[in-house]
Amino acid sequence: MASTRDIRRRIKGVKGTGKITRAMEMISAVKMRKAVSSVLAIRPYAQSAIELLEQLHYAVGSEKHVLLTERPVKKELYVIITSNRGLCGAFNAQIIKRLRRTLSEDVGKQRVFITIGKKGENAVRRILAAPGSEGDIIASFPDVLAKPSTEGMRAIARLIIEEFEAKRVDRVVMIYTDYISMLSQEVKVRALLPVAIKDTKKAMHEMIGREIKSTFIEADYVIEPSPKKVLWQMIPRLLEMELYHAVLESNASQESARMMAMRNATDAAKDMVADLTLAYNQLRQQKITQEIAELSAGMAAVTH
Amino acid sequence: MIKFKIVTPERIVIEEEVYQATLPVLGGEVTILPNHVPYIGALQAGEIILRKVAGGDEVSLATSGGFVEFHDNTLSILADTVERAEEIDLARAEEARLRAEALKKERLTMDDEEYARTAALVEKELTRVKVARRHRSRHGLSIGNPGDRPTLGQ
Repeated sequence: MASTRDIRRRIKGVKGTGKITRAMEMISAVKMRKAVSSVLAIRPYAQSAIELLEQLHYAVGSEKHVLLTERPVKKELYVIITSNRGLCGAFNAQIIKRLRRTLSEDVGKQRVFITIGKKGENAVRRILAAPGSEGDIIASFPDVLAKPSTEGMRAIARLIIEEFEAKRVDRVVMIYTDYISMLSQEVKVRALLPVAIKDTKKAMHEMIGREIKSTFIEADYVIEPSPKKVLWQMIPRLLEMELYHAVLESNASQESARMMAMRNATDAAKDMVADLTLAYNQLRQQKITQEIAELSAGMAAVTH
Repeated sequence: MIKFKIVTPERIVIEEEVYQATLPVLGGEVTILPNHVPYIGALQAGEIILRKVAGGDEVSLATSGGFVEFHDNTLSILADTVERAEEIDLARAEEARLRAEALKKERLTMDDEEYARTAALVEKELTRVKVARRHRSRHGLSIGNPGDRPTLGQ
């Protein structure tokens, strides 16, 4: 049986852990708010970008660029967005679960991966290490998560486009976590390349807000150097924006998952302290009672 | 007057009324005045120069590229990055430029992609330095040697 001193030591330890998890919860809350406000800050850009895209799409018509053209899929590139650190509940596990499911549904294709986040990188390595699986991680970008910026996404977007243009991959798919609210996040799978302008517009409408209204402006534009050139130049920017948006959504989700996990840990620590305090007091009381009993028994032996 | 705004995915950099805007578009410069025809163009790295009133003071900004759209006297710029002249700390911009150039020299062996990225970085930093210098000189601050502007081919 534990002594009172052992219990006291444990109470102290659990209290200390509770303080740490409480602090982590608060840090995550701040980071989450920051990520959410960055997501909202994209809106004016997305709004202008979609107006521009509508015009260019209209002016260019149905002419196809290599980035817009579908081809038979032999090899796929997966972009997996996870976190660098753990202690965030099932956040990373959900992404990996979804990835495994997607991979098993979609057999007979070659695959390569780009990972954003160390947790995803490790998980993909484990998947690839399993017997019978093929594939490779062609690049890992753990550093863009800490301070997401569109400039940080440029290298990733360029790599993806290069792989696609060189026909080393025929399709690029991104798996990330979409932040819906503090309590609910959803894993999403989105095709990045080939670009389907319809889907891009839809994704941008989702960034702006949920309602879809027409953004086509009736005007006779002069487009320089040419509608095609501007559109081709714009597509990489839109990819960057989508990646940036996905990383922010993922970060917001990650922090809210961590916040919840830490809140649960703090609550568990509180419960544990309460239980331990009760056990401690019982033990202490028991000891006092026992001492009194011994004392009075001793007294009785002496006086009688 | 033109309703003018510059947005990046990160923030709205500027939203105000201006009289004219000169933009670094691919293959040259375009100056937009009120009642310009509807216009869409692609920007390259360079300087955006604004005038709030006809013949008034210039405000300049450094951009690394983007797109411009103009209709109904509304001018929107979708920029990759933008900095206002007064936001650029000249010393820091200069330092970043040197770093970028050092990077370029160091990596002579790097592949094309790396090189293109670094060259773009150098170009961006050069524009920043240029814009910061102009801003300083217009405000009568000593800026060392304004004639000694760095060029890319150094």
